[in-house]
Amino acid sequence: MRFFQSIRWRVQLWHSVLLAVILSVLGILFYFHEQRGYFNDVDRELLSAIPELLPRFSYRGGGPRRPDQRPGRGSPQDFEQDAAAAQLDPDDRRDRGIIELFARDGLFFVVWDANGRLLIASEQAPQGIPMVTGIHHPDPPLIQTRNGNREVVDATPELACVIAGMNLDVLHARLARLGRNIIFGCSGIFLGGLAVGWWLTGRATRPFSTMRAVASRVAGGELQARVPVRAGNHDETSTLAHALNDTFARLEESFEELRSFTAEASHELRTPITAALAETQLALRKERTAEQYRETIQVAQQNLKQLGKLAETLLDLSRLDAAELVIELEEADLSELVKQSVEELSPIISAAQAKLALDCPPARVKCDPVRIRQVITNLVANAIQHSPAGVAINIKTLATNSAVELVVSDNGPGIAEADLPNIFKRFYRSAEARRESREGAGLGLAITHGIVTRHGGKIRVKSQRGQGTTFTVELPVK
Amino acid sequence: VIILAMRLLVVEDNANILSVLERGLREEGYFVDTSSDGIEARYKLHNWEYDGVVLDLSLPGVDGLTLLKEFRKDGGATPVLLLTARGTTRDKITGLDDGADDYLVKPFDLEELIARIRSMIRRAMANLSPEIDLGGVKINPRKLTVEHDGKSIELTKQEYALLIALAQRRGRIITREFLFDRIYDREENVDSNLLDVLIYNVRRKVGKDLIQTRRGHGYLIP
Repeated sequence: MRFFQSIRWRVQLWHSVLLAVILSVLGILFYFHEQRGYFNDVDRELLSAIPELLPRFSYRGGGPRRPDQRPGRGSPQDFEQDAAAAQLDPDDRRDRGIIELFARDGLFFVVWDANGRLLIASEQAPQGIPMVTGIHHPDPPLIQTRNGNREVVDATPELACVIAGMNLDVLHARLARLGRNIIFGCSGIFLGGLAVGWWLTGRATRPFSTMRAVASRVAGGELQARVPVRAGNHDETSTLAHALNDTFARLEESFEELRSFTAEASHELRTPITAALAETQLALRKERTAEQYRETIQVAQQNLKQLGKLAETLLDLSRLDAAELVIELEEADLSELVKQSVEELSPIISAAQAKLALDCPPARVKCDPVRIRQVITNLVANAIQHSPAGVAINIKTLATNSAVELVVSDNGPGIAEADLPNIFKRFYRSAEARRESREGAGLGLAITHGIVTRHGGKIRVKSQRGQGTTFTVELPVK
Repeated sequence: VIILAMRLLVVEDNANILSVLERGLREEGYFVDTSSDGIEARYKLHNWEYDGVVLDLSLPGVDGLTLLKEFRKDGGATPVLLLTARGTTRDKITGLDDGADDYLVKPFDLEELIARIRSMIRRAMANLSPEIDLGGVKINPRKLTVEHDGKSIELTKQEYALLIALAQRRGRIITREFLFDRIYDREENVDSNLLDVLIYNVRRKVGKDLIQTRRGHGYLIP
């Protein structure tokens, strides 16, 4: 199976694309969120450092400047004094706090006095960093990024510019690390997702593989193969499996029917062939008298006739099966058809000394007269064949608004209860019929049933041992 | 005229086929009993000893395979040829495994059936040679001739049947009923004392000591 023809592969492909997109978007969003957070943190930190720095350098050294003392007016002596005072003293508690704060990676500060002279630059401050002009007390602190540094700039009347800054290289290194971690993390999740997806799609499509395997076994002739279904499971695959199993069962049934039909039909065909063949072969073994030849020919003829009848019956059955039996509907009177059938049967009726009683008022119905006559003939001939001589047979026709009925009843030996459900089945012969070696292949009632059904009608049988048998055929008027 | 001194049972539910088989086998010189259903066949198999059985599989009453299995279980050794309209290999295997000696599918050739019965019986009876030499008495079943000390002897049909029935089963004690079934057809209404007359006549022609009497059991040629 090529991978793009497999649902599993296709689902897996879609799954991976979707997963990759989602993870990328999430990763990118997370990265930028974190980046902003980092900058906020740095800004907050730098901002919080400003209040530490301002009082320290404004009020140390030459003491607090008077407010009226203008910037830039300080003498060089003043400046040296201020610069000296600005040096941080590790022994001083407050200075130690500032030293420790700016000892941290990348943090620095630079302070210029009111005259714009560099008072102090911390250890990590970039060399020759220019002063920021244009910020005046009491403007809020300015936050900016300049030359790869994040800077918070403020000023006081005593100090022209105070910068608390951070070298962004450190931040960028941290962000690069974060990016790498995000990529590794997302790749891990992606691979894990693929594995889980593969497992899930495998689980979801496994029933299909099973069904396919079972279906090919069935196609290969193993008709009794079925898809295993857990009881009480009603999800999509189980429903499908049930549907498939039903189909397989139906298929097996039809095959079985066909097989048994073929076997039975061949059995029934072989019997008269065997009889005729053996009879003629016996006759030809040596010279016989004319009388013996005549007998042989008669036996052969009788068997050939039987064979012909059988062939016709089988053809009728196969036509019924293929729905090819043409039913030519025309307006007919059931009572007329009964009379014609009885006429046709008169030789066997008189041979069996059967007593027929007809109670047949006209009953008009749309039907195929040839086929319905066949039905009547079959039923009456059946009654005669399965009863001792002198049987009484009643034939009645009945017309109602929606249907006409034909009732054929006899006072013969009746049908055993065990045989009743089977009498319309093909090749079914009751135990007695077989024991008494009666002629007939057990197809007459099957055909009768088929014809009536094709007319949209129904055939019923009522019988009891020793009480006779009644067949009722009901044909719809329309 | 062929005299085999053998009796067959033919079981077949189709009257036409049964009748042909009966006539054909009679022409071949067999005595033939017939049966058209399983129950009657079971009775006959149980009560008489046959030299061969032709058995149809689909029978009313009891089907052929069941009958065959029962017969073999009860120790019946008579060769059986199955006759059936079902010709699949599986059916054949089932039939042969259940104790059949041969198998023929309908429609069959009558000559083939007769030949198969003949060979089936020959296999079952070990000493069925073209010429039977009983020491002093030589029988040729094909020519229907008997020689005693090199001289040809004339025997009637019944005498010949008696001699050959015993000669083919040399060394076995044969009951009077068994002999009777192989000399007379069932339709012939004969007194069983006729058998004693026949024995007497044969002994007179081929010598007194050839056929021995086992009182209460039957006769044998040792």
